[in-house]
Amino acid sequence: MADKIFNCPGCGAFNTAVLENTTLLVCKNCCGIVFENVDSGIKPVPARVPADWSFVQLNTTGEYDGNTFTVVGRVRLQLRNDYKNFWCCVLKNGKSLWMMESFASFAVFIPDWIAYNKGISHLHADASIRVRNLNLRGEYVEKCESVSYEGEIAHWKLFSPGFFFVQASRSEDDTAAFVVEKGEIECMLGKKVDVQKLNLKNIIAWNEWK
Amino acid sequence: MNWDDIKGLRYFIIYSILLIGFFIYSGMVGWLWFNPTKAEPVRGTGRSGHVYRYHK
Amino acid sequence: MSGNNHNVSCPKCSAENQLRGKALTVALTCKACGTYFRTGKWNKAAAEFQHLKEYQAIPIGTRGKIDNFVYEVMGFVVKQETRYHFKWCEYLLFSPYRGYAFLSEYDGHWNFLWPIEGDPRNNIKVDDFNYEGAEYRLYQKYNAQVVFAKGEFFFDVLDVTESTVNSEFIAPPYMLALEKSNDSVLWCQGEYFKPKEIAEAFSIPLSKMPPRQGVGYTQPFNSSYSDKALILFSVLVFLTTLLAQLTMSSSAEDKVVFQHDYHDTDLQDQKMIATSSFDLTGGMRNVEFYIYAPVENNWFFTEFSLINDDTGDEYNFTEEVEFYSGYDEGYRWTEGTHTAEAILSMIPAGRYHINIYPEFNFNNHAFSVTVKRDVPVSTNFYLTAIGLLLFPAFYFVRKHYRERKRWSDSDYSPYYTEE
Repeated sequence: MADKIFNCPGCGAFNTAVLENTTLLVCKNCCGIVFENVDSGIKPVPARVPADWSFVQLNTTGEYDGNTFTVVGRVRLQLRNDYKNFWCCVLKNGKSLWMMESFASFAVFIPDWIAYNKGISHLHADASIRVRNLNLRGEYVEKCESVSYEGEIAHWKLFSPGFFFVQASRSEDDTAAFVVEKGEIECMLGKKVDVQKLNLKNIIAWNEWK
Repeated sequence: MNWDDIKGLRYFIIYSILLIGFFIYSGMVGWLWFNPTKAEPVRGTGRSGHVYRYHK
Repeated sequence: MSGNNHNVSCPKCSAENQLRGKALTVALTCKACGTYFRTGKWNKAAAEFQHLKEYQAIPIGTRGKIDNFVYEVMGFVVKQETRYHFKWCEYLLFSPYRGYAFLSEYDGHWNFLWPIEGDPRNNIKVDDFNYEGAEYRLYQKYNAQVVFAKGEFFFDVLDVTESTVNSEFIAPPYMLALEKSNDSVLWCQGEYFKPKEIAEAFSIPLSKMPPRQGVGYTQPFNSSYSDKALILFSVLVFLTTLLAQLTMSSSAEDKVVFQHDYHDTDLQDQKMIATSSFDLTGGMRNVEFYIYAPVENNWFFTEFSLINDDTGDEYNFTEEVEFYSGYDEGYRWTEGTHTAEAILSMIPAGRYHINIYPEFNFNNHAFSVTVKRDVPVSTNFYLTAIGLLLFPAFYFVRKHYRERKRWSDSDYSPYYTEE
């Protein structure tokens, strides 16, 4: 797919979109919204992604399931007692996947939101949660305090901060990320991954921790 | 059993080797460590041979 | 973007606090006044603690290397168990490449804990289970509260501590800790560390570390080798000894070198019988004497002198044969035997004869002597086996008492039943 170039309406900087269905493009220069394709009515608020100690960054490359990918964007969820960096990755064929990272723990999600209709009462820690044909167990429920965006993202539902984030997993393998907002529940399915297997390159070298 | 185990057990290994070695040596020279027969050895008196010392 | 400094103001003294943990930090204590507060949009009051500086062995900001990863001490808390009120210290460690981990210290015993994925119990709620080849057993279940905090935290340590029920399962030197609340389930795996190891990892003088007291609940009885290795090696040395014994027994000459029957008339006027000479061959070996005397309700006593014909070296010993029998209330009883055995160890090769000094009794007039060279014996084998088993026996007895002591503080001890 041919790259698309957008001018930032705020600072005029050129920003390139590489994904098939870009949902949001944030200016790499001023963090303003360059392009949005949102039908939920929620307008993302331009804001700089807060600095954290993640060693992944835009243009980090990696491998998953035999495919190489490049990180092109990020959605950062600040939870009450945790955080989640959803890194939007583009594959060579222009399709995308989500690499979720939190405290050096990684999971890869298929960018496909599934409606979960069994009600919020099923979503709590240590509960048995069935999604499609997977039997998962609730790991935690956290309120999201803020959401920030960086780079280009696709296949992301825009949620207003204040929603609840639920993670459920099956042992060290399958995992699901739920977003609970005003009674509506949607989730993405994925796999937990050992960071070594992702073979990440072009990462931030925090030399003081070496 | 790995190398760490062998290192940790080194004193027991040395002790076992010494004890088994001593056991084999004792077996070869007919040394009984515990012998209910209380034998009293007397060094050669120079009267070797058939010496009739205790006559009625 | 990443790398920017984060500053927050203390809600009590308004002092600016630069966040070492950047956006990861959600709660902290003010560097100026020590007040604990949250950085997020929480409607919670700040907390103040009495200063408990003497508990802290590793200062905030200290870096140390564990498992080849550099960790920095971000936060420190003193927690108190709500039922028995015992206190312990916890250090929150952080590495961008490994996430967060904990160091807990109680009575000078240290555990390094790190979060793990999944449920080690495979979602089956049992007190004893196997994980990664180790047998874990529930040691304690408790609620706790934070009585002192200092530094930065990636979660509201006060709220999380108070809202979780903690279960700890041990397989020394490892442990698994489950922190469970309505909102989260977190499993951590842990391993025991010696104070010296922690002091070296964080470059802290050992003298600054709290002294070790008692037995730590994950303190291994022995960290230098495994029980399996000890058992395996013990079996190996036992089999080696058994093999040596079988080899020596089967290769023993066990040769009759002298045999003679005697009658009291052989004494003639002498007090002693001198045997003919015989050869003992094969270097240093043992010699067995087998004495038979057909005594009935009587005894036979004799003194032997094995004499080397060439050197005159003597080996003197005595033997007694006694045998009694009779009828008592219609039952026949016997006591003693008609035979006796004596064995002389380490007899050099040479030509020998025996001087025999028999003491016949009234109804006994005969005896016989058989001399064997290089007979197989087993007492050395038994003594060696005992000697070899002493070490593992002592080890396991000591381990048993140590385990009892370890579990003496637990409500789930396998060594005690409820009265």
